[in-house]
Amino acid sequence: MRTDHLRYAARSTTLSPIVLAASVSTVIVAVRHDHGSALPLQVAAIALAGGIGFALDDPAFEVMAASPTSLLRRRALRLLVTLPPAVALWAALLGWQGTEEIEEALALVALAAGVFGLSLGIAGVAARRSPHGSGGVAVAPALFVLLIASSTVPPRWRPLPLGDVPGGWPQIYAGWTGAAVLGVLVFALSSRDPATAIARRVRMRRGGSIVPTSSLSGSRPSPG
Amino acid sequence: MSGPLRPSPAPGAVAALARVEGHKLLVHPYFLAGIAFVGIGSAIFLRATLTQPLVSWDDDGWTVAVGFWMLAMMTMVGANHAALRDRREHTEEQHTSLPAGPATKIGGLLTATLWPAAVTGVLIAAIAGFASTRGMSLSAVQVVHLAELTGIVVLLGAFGVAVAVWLPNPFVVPLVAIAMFVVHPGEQSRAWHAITPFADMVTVELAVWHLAYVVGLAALFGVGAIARSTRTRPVLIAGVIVAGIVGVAAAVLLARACPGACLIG
Repeated sequence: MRTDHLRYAARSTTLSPIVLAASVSTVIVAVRHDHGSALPLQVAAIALAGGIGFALDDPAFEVMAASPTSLLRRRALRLLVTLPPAVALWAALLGWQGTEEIEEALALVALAAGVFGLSLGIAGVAARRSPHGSGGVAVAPALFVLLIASSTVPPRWRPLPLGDVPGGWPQIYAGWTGAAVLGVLVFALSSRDPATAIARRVRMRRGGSIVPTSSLSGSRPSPG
Repeated sequence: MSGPLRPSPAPGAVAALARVEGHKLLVHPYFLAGIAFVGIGSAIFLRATLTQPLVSWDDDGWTVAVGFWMLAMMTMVGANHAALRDRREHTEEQHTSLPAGPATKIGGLLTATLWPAAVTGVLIAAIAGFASTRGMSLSAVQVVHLAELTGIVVLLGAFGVAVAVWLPNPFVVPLVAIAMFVVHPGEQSRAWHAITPFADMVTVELAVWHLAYVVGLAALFGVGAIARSTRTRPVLIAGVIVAGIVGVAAAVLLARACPGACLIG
């Protein structure tokens, strides 16, 4: 992969929410640093996940849809610019804040993976359905709703546990890992290239003859 | 051609906008999600009243209050989303050609938050009515707290609009909502907890002061949002009066909410 690709992706990615989330996360951990609590790291993970959701915003998606680069590849480039720094920052905050035991650290890592995965899934679907290609605005409210909804479920069955639950660490690991897997799957499904689907339909209609995916006419239906 | 741009909110246009925006706010997915949380909180309370022999509002009514807090937060996110619509749709420039200025639009959005507040009021009245039929008599403090939930919906709605006006970034208010949900003031009671929106007061007098504080704060956010686009004399005078009310109420709450029992800070 050429570095040009990353540079162009960085230039066209909405970075202000991620910068805001990074700043807020750092301040929260700094303010609550001496309290030995996992709460700041939870808030930091959720905030960074909300910021990451904006990375998929692409106002030019309709223009870019006709390019040979697939939707998944275009999204992957944007994530390559934003996700590693966010993960690195959160890992640094985890190291700075510290945890009392290794199980707590693992649970926090699972939580971070879960909220990041959910963020990608929500952003992927919302960006695909939005007429402007901007799904980031839906991510943080949707995460908020999911967290509240999860907290209304009895602790034994809580899918996204933020505190102690009867199942202990295994329930926390399982819940958040499941959320991460589900989020990534939804993201992958929502990143199927619309042009490929059209080409497949055309190919099926023509009895298997191959048509190039870049030969899109103006009749391309809007994604989602 | 229309006349010159009105710097102050035009009452007729504000009312018309409030009707449209209020209706949109009521059918907004965020507000409907909030209503679902009210439903869950109320259902838990309902189940307790129907299945347990001894039920009191103090012990079991908290789930209702939490549901309405979530509704208030969802109203905040919805109002912010509505206030950022022009920015999202890139129609800000087009709307500058309208005869009514931005203050009218902001006034309409702020007034629209009364619609969710009215729905909140109706739901609270229904739940309180049901509680009274089950033999639960609400104390005067509890009645004021229930009434205050309506004010909290307006307060957070106005906050959502004010943030959209001053910090037009769609990520700020959802971040605040998540922080409000996840971060708790702490188990140990401190004096400053009295000036948080969801604080419980022990006497009727303090509860009324807290209600005045919440309503004043909502008005302050409203005036602050309008002041972004117009700083006419009435707006500034209103700002000073409202700030005075909020300041006095906050001082009373800080000094008298928990004298001696609370930690300072």
